[in-house]
This record gives sequence, C-alpha cells and structure tokens, in this order.
Amino acid sequence: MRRERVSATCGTKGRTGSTTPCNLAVSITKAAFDNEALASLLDGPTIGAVIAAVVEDSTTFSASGAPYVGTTRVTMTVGVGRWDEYDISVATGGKLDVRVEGSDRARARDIADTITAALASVGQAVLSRAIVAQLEALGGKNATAQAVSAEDNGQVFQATLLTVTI
Amino acid sequence: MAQVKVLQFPDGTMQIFVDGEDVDFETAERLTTQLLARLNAVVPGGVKQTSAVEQHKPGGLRHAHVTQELRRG
Repeated sequence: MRRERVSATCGTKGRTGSTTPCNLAVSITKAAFDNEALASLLDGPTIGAVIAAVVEDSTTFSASGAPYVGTTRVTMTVGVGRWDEYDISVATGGKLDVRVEGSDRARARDIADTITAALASVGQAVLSRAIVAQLEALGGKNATAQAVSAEDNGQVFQATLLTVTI
Repeated sequence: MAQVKVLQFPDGTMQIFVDGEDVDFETAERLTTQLLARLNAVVPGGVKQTSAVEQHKPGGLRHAHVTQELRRG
C-alpha cells in the first residue's frame, strides 16, 4: 500500500501532490466500528497466523509448535530459554480477549499487548477489504487503497483511504 | 460518475465522502446509506453512523470546515 500525506486544505495540493479526499465532496458522513465488530472479522486461522507471526518476530519467545485453533479460543505454547513456558490464548468469535500466562508477568503482558496490537492492525486490513467488497457490490470500480496521514492543526493521524468510482 | 472515498482510522472510526461534480445529494446520501447497510449486514450491528449525511456543494468546502472534518471520532 502506498503511503502519502493528505493535506487538510481542501482543493489544494499537499506537499506530496495529493489532494484532500473531500475537495469535491457532495456529502460527508461519519461512522464507527466498535472493537468487538472488528474482532468478529477475524476467524480462528487468521488469529492463529497473527499469533505465530508475533512469536516469530519476537526475540524473547520461541515457538514449540503451531497454534491450536479451537472452537472458542486459539492457543499456543511458547518458550523462553530452555525451560520457561508461556501459554497464549486468544478468544475467537468477536471477543477481544488475549491472555498470556507465564512466570514473568511483565513479559506476559508485553507479548499480550503486541498480539492485541497486531490483531487490531489485521482487523483494520480485513475491514478495508470488506468495505471495498461492499462498494464493489454497489457497482464500484477501480478500487484503490492508500495509507495516508490526515493532518489537523499540526496533528497527524494515520489512516487508510479507500476510493472507488461508481 | 460518483467517487466514494472512505477514510478509515485505526481506532475504528471512518469518514465517508461522496464526490463528483455531476452527483446530486440524493445519490450521495443513497450510496452512503447503502454502504452502511451492507457493512452492517457483514457485521450485524457493528457499524454505527455517528453523524448525519451532511450535504456540501462540490468544491465548496472551506479549509476550516475540512480541518474539523478530518478529526477522528
């Protein structure tokens, strides 16, 4: 996905040459997805892949097997050093519940936070695909997705800009 | 031709813009409503519309207004 900055100045070119997304807006509407709705977009195998990727990227934890995808939770046991083990358990079915149990609480909390952030990121990507799919079902064509920075009073928010022509 | 743009923020909020010089407000409102209804079909009750579909004239938005619109939430 390309990343560029979206200037908040309507109808003018930003520093990277992009125009703000509302420069010709006929209408503007705000909406929100709640966290549990985002979580419900993630199925067990996807959650398992996210956990495995976080563990693989970790310099502390090592995988001793693949994640187990159960009916209500995805679980994985990971090791630290030769003897220490931590049990990771993430709920499926729209519950944002990440639990990690092990001897070092700070270490457990650290990987739980990393998994939660990774799940949120993947949830956003799945939501982007769902939005584009629904726009295409309405007749939308030429869908694009861009990582953008929306600027407001000097404060920059990261966002994804999805565009289709209908 | 209408251009539908969805600005999706990491906190789950989003802003839906409908652009197009030959697009009237009724069309823009219909497209927005249909998109939200479809998303609610994908995740029942998951999407909440947090502002009415606001009408703007093509190219008529002012900087201050847009600055406000680009805020999250």
